[in-house]
Order: sequence, then C-alpha cells, then structure tokens
Amino acid sequence: MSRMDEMEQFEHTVKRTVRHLPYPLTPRLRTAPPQETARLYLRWTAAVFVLLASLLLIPPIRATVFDLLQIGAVRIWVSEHPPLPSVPTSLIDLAGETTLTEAIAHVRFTPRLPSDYGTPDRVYIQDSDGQALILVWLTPDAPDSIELALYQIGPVNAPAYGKMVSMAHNTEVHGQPAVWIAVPHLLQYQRGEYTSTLQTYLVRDNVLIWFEGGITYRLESRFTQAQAIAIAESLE
Amino acid sequence: MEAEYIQRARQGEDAAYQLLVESHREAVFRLAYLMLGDADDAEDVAQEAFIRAFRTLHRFDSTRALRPWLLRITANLVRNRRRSIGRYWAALQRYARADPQASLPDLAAENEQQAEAYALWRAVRHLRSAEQEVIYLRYFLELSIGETAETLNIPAGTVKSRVHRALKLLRGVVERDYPLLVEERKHEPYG
Repeated sequence: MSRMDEMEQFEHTVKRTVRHLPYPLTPRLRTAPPQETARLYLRWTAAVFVLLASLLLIPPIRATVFDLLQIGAVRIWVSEHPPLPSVPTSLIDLAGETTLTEAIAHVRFTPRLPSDYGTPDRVYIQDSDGQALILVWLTPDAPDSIELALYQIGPVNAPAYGKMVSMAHNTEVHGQPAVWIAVPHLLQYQRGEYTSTLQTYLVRDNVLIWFEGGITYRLESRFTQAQAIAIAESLE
Repeated sequence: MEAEYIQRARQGEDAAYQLLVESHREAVFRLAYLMLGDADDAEDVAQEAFIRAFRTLHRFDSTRALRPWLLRITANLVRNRRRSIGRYWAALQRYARADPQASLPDLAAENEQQAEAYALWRAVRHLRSAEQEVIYLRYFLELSIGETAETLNIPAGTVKSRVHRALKLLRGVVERDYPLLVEERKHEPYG
C-alpha cells in the first residue's frame, strides 16, 4: 500500500471511529434573548431621547484656543488642532495583565461590570497602588479587536489620564456630569502627581467619561453615545 | 431560511432566537467539550457563546452560514478561558500531552467502538491546540473544508495543509500509543 493510500486509510479510520464517541447530553441553554440585552435596548431608546434633548440644550464644547475640562482623574484639553500620531497602539498590548479575581483583591475600590457583558476577556491593573483598572471585552468573532474597554480609576490626588481632543460634548450618566468624545485623539497615562507620561495611545473609538461615587470611569467602544450611556448606566 | 430567522431574531423575536439556539447548541457544546474535556465548563462556554452571539448578531453577515461563526466564537471563548488561567493551563496542557487520559472525564465506554473513540480522542489530545482544533472541526463535528476555514478564519488551502499535518502527527501518536486502532483495520475495506 502506498504512503498516500495509507493516509487515506487512516483518515477513513478516524472518520469512522470518532462517530462512536459518546458525548454528554447537550444541556438546555437559555433560549430567550438575554433579558439584560432587552433592557439595554429599552434604555438605548430612552437614552436617544435624552441625547437629542441634551444636544438641543447644550452646544458642543469647541475651543478656538483651548478649553480645559476635568472629569475625576481625566483632564481634557480641547484644541482645534490636537496632535495625532500615525501609528495606533493597542490596548491588548498593555502591561499589567492580571485576572479579575486578582484585580478585585488588589484594587482599593469595588470594580463594577456592565450587566450585559459577563466576565471581561482581559484585565489590567495600570497603577501599582491599585487605583487604575482596565477591563476589556474582545469582539466575539474577531478576538484581535476590542469591543469595549472600561477604565475604572480610584480616588487620586492628580489627574492620571490626559486627553487632547478637537471636540467634546457634555452629557450625563445617572445625572452625573459626563463627557462624550467621538473623534480620534491621544490618551496619555500619567503616574499620579509626578505627571511623567508612561504611555500614549491613539484612541480611534468613541469615549464616554464620567465620575460617580468617587470613581472615574472611561468607556471606550464603537458604540453610539446613547448606547455607551446605556452601558454606563448598567454597571453593577 | 436561516437568514430569515436571523433577521427576525435581530428584531427581537424570541421564537426565532430560540430556533437558532436549538439548531446549533449541540455543535457549540460539543466543540467546547472536545476542547475543554469537561462538560460543566463546556456548558458555561456554550451559554456564553450564545449570549455573545446574540449581542453581536446585528454585525453578522446573514448571507453566510451561522454555524461556523458560532463555532468561531466558541473556540475563541475556550482560548480566552485557557488564557485566563495562564500558567496553570500551560502546565495542564503539558500534563495532558504526557498523559491525555488523566485530563479527560471518567470515560466509561459501553462497547468496543466507544472505547476506540475515546482512545482516538486521547490520541488527539497529544497534538498542539491548533492541530486539535482542525481535527475536531473536520472529523468530530464533520464540517466541510469551507466551514472549517470559516470557523478558524483561515484560507481553505491552509485548512487542507493543517489537516494533512495534523493527521500525519495523529497517525504517529496512534501507531505509537494506540496501535490496536490501526492494526485491526488494516485489512478492512473502505466503507
């Protein structure tokens, strides 16, 4: 028998043999769409009306020279011509990767998760004092891309993150002041009061930043403002 | 027909979503079970796979088949699960390659054919993850080359070469550790 015939014979043996593997009974899976998702859609709808109303009432923050905003630990400079690097960097390459269990034990605040997102795919602690936690959910069918990144930054004495953007909008999350940024911009991470820049990212996604219960949240995704606010308000 | 159900599920119709889950839950669960070797873990992954799939269903191209996409999500979740336990998983993998039976559930075969199937599964677990996956998809789940390519997000030609390499390696393992699987069949006709 030739080598090719032997391989075909072996392939045939594999095919025939594995058909007899007794699998465990396939479990019943939840067959209704996730309720959290359904609730989220309702929240999105409601949020769209809130968004429309807020856009009518609050003009965009657009500075001819500079505006300075600060939401918790994030300082935002609004400029007509902010610098942009040409090469994007990826959050997936961040240092400080850990597990959610270890992160919960390490950070000095209680992390909150979006109700519809389950356990994050990646978890990073970016501050040795346990004040900056980054949770990342990857796109289910494209694991090299990020669907959602949620920063949670504990109380700090000085801004930990800096942004320079061309345009930002005021909005609210749970009635608290928030900022919506939907233009590519730089994000700089700084180590507390020393203000030495450790890392710079080019953010191409939309970003929602808000401050709630002493914690600064920064949500980065491809979602719309209304969708991002709905996710923000689902944290539990 | 499936595209129609996908469209209806996107619009929030529970029955359409239920039908899609029912159509594919066995394949999704089985792939997770084969990759993880644990039914409880496989159930968790399968449930998570459908939740994530539903969440991103609006992005799915409904002109394509749903099953490879669901299996891709499943495989990614398994890989993430392995990654999340990092070194522990790597050690477990080394242990599994050294003694594949030790990492599998208590496999009580009811007949010789089942025993042979278990033996072959143990042999597959000697291979590297990428080779295991292509064998599971192509032979255990009986996907076509095209469906396997779509699941693994690689060209069909790469699937063919990976299958060929995996089979060659598997044959080496079988001949070394499970010779009865091939010796008894050498004189049997195809069929």
